[in-house]
Amino acid sequence: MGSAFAALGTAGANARVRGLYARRLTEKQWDDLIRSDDYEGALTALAATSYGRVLGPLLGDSNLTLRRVERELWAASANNCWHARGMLMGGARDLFRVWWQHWELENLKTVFRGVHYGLDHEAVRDLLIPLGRRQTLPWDALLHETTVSGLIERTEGTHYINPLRNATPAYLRDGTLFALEVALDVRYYRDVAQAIKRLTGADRKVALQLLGTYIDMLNILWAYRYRIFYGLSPEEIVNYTLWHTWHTGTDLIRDIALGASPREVVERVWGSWRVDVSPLAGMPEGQMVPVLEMILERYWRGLARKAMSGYPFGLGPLLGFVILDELECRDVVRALEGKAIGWPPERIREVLVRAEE
Amino acid sequence: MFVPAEMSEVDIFCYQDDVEEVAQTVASLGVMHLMDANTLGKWGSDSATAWSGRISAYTAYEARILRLMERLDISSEGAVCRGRLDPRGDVTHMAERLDDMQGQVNALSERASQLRREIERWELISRSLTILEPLSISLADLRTLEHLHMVAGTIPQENLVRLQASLFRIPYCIIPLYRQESRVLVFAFCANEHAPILERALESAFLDPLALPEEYGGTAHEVREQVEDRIAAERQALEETLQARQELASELDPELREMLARARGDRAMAEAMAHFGYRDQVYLIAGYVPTDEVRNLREAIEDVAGGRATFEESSPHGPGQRTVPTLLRNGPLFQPMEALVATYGVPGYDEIDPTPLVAITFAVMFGAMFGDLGSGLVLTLVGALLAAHAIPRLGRFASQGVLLLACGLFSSLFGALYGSVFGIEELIPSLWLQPLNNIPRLLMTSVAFGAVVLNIGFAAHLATAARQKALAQTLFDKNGVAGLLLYWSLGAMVLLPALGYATPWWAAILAALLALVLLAGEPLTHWLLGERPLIDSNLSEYLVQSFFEVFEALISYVSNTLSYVRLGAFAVAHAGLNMVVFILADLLAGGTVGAVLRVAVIVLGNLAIIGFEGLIVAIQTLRLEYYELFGKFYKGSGVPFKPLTLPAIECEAEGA
Repeated sequence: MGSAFAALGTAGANARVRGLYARRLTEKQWDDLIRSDDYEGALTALAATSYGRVLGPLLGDSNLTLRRVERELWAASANNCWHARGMLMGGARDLFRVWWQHWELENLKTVFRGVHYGLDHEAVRDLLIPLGRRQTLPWDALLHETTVSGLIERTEGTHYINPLRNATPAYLRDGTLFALEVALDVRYYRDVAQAIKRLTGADRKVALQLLGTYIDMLNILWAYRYRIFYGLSPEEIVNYTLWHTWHTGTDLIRDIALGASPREVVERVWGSWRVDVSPLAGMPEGQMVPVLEMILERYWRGLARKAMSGYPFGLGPLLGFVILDELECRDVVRALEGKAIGWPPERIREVLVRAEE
Repeated sequence: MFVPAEMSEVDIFCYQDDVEEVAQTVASLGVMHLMDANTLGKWGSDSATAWSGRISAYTAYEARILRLMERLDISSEGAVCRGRLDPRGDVTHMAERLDDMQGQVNALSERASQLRREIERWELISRSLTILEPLSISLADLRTLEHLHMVAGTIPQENLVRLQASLFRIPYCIIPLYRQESRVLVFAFCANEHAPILERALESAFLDPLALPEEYGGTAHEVREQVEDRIAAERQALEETLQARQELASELDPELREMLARARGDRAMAEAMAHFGYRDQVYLIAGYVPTDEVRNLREAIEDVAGGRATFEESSPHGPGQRTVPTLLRNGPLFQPMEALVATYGVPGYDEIDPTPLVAITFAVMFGAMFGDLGSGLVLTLVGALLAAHAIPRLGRFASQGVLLLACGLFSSLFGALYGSVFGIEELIPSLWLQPLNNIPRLLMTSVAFGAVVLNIGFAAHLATAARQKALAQTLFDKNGVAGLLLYWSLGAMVLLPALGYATPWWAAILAALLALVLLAGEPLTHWLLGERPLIDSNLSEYLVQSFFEVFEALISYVSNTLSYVRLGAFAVAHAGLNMVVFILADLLAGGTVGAVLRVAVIVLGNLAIIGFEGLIVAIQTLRLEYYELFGKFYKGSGVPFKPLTLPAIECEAEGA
């Protein structure tokens, strides 16, 4: 009886997210956005879509910057994720809360970067995604800190304090935020993995398919970045990646660290019939990572679309919606940035995760 | 009573230099409901933006102050601000002073944290030296091992397995020695040529190295003794730092409390200022004030502004027809019942206030449905305890206590009329009737009572129309004059034959005529008011719609009246439920145990009846109020009167 009620509750939530899903940009709206004359034209085109709710109040501001538009767009996506959370109960609701916290994590990293590079607190505040009153960190106190050590101490009482303290010696030794950011990421994605683990049955399966896949993607991309761009040793790569994952165990990370190719890795994790890595053929290692990232993001988007149109009495459509919403927001931001630097429509299309539907 | 307090629209014009003084005076009197700056036409200004910024600033300051107080263990109770508030200037002073205080607190907190970490670190060193003590060799020798590379330190416990998994290229040995909170003290060894690999792996596992102290010489045992001395010294330093923090807390205590009160007061003022109009250095404070308070406000403003403020009073229904707020004044007896009305909707300024009517009818109807002297007295007692704040933890339910008290009293009264005490009907004589023995009479009386209440509803509708100067519009309305006459005609058609009189044909003819009048209500009203066209839509559409409206009105007259039959029905149900309790109790009777069980069943049964039936009866009563009675005359579309006030903080004069 309980599961019947839960299924009915989820079905109601699914009906509502399908309504929200219908607000996504249409092909024509994308075309108008990408083919607009310039950045201002792109903003006008975007304001005529469902994003008008976000852009409408901003467009009258003569000092409107691209950075602010981006922050507001991210905030709208974070808001959609929070609304989806509100439609759920129990473990699923908790999973959405944890997933929503990646926005907060972004803001926390921004504050660390701002303080590390000596920015004024108002300047840092301007860089934060406005998440409203839902945040769980003491932002005012954080923004008024002037040292990274002070910032770490201000996170006392949150679950970030231990990883940050653990990484403090490395920060003090190296003088870069790398270790702190890795510690934060590892902690956060461990929380996501735990939240998935608390689910049961079909909900857990779909959460693993969507968020588990995302964690695997991140792990693989991090390992390649550490090897190619940072020149880390295999031991460091293993220690700086995630180990509470679905398909990317220590053996796989070791192999990446020792030089395994993306084709081999993708084939082992997902199978080459699922993810087409042929664009990577013959590509120098240095150029490979962004292309691999795009390939994996498109695969992930495909999974989200499949979940969105799947079984209506489970978590799939809700997770699918949240992922598709965020990916669309990412594409919109990329399109606006492309317009701002004068890229032609064809170049912009290349950097979008979306494909024509 | 019955009508909201009369309001005046007040406009106060003052120079910007005086606005804060004037605003504080208005706020301290707490009699003015502000209009929003957006509704002030050309007086709506950009100044609201500046004040909105200050509101955000003060909100952030309040959060910072509270956090600082929390860190210093200072209570935020009893905050008092001294001198007048200065919402424009305090922003800067407060920011500077807060930064300064936060700097001092942070310095001491960081020093304390650093010392704690140092102590922990030296304790770990001491512990690792304990492991090495049996070796009785010099630490200098341990640091210069020829073939072996050794590292000691702590790593997060969760990283240990990962670290071991990462060291797949070299032979190594990691010995976990001691667990401290979330970290573990380890000794790691490898061959000297693999040292760089081990070092990088340990660093990436967030190793906090624990170098064997170079500043101390001798064997592990000797060094450990020196380390213990150092720990004692660090503990002393920590104690001194904590003491210094305590002293700083005592020093900052009054200032922080004052600042908290000031930030709250300034924020309230800034919120008010954001509502004020502004033009050419002149502020307009516009709002609604109870007419009997206008004189006091005028005198206070003149006092504080010294003749530099202009005070204008006008009727609340000026151009633009803004919504006038509603202030209800029902006195202490009826005031707790306002919540029942407000749950439906706040009375509009030009509506009548149904609170006294609801207060009486609610208690009477509840009593009629739940008539029992014993249960009623229990409810009365609980209500009295709540209303008198006798149970501090339930203090917030004091107003509900008054409602319960009234319901309990009427329940007792009807209990006496029905002759029922906790369901026992033989204990006292019935003063009127016993529900189970007089069901038809009880139900007829209930319906008659309903007819009286509905007539009051009709009267209230006419009174509201008179108050809104719209009597003509109600002449042909289903709840107006024509409706009332039709209701009476229908009543006569039912009542007179029931009382043994001949069928009143005149009433039937009158009812038919009145139904026709209702059918033609819209054209007749338009004709009376001289409005054209007489019908807004086309004729056929109008006739169909009117026919169904009249049909619905006729049904509602009957159903609304019969709805009150539940008064008697629930009284019968109550007696029936009590009878069930006694039958169950009697089934268990017999012997000493049986007697005890019987009493237990009667007590528990009565408690269940008081709880569950009481709740159901309350819901039914509310339904009769909201649906049958309010439907006749009440819209509840008003906005509550919310005067500008300062938060509950004390502001003393300077030097007081």
